[in-house]
Amino acid sequence: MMPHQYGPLLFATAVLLIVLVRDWLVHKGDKS
Amino acid sequence: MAMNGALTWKPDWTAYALLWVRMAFGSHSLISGLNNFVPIFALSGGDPSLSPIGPFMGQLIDMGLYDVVKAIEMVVGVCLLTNRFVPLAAAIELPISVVIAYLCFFVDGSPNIMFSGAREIGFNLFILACYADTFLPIVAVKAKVRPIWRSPYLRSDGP
Repeated sequence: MMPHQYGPLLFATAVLLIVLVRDWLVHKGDKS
Repeated sequence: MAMNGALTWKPDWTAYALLWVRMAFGSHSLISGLNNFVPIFALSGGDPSLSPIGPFMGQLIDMGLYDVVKAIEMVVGVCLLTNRFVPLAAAIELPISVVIAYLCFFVDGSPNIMFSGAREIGFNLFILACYADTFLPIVAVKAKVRPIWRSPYLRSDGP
């Protein structure tokens, strides 16, 4: 794969991880 | 307890999948479209003219239609990345995705290109499927006719 092919996949994965961790922390904060 | 709260966390995985697909499809569309007008990176995947798709691409470029396609891709990319007009963007992109998938699968057929075709049509169909409320109403055998130039869409009788 070329950079222009896997670049968007890496970018999407990074955004997803950030949002997942943020949501998990928000949920954890609400419950404690 | 915080730990119990973490364990009972039930995320909407479809929403996260949609986010991932929007980011991947949107960034790819935006970069791909932008690269046509402002070269950001060199396409080093070999000589395009060697691919069976080459002559078709050449014709598109000669007619100026390739620029139109890339401009649409840029707009679609911005919509997907910013989560604005997402169903409309996915619907507008669908004809382009179908053509790309056809070319990749049935004209070129090399594994690398087929991956691109599968990704393109797969991402697009997934986004459309996520907006079933928007698109299922158009699956009507006998649809009601109500033109946009008539009430209640266009009010010409004043307030």
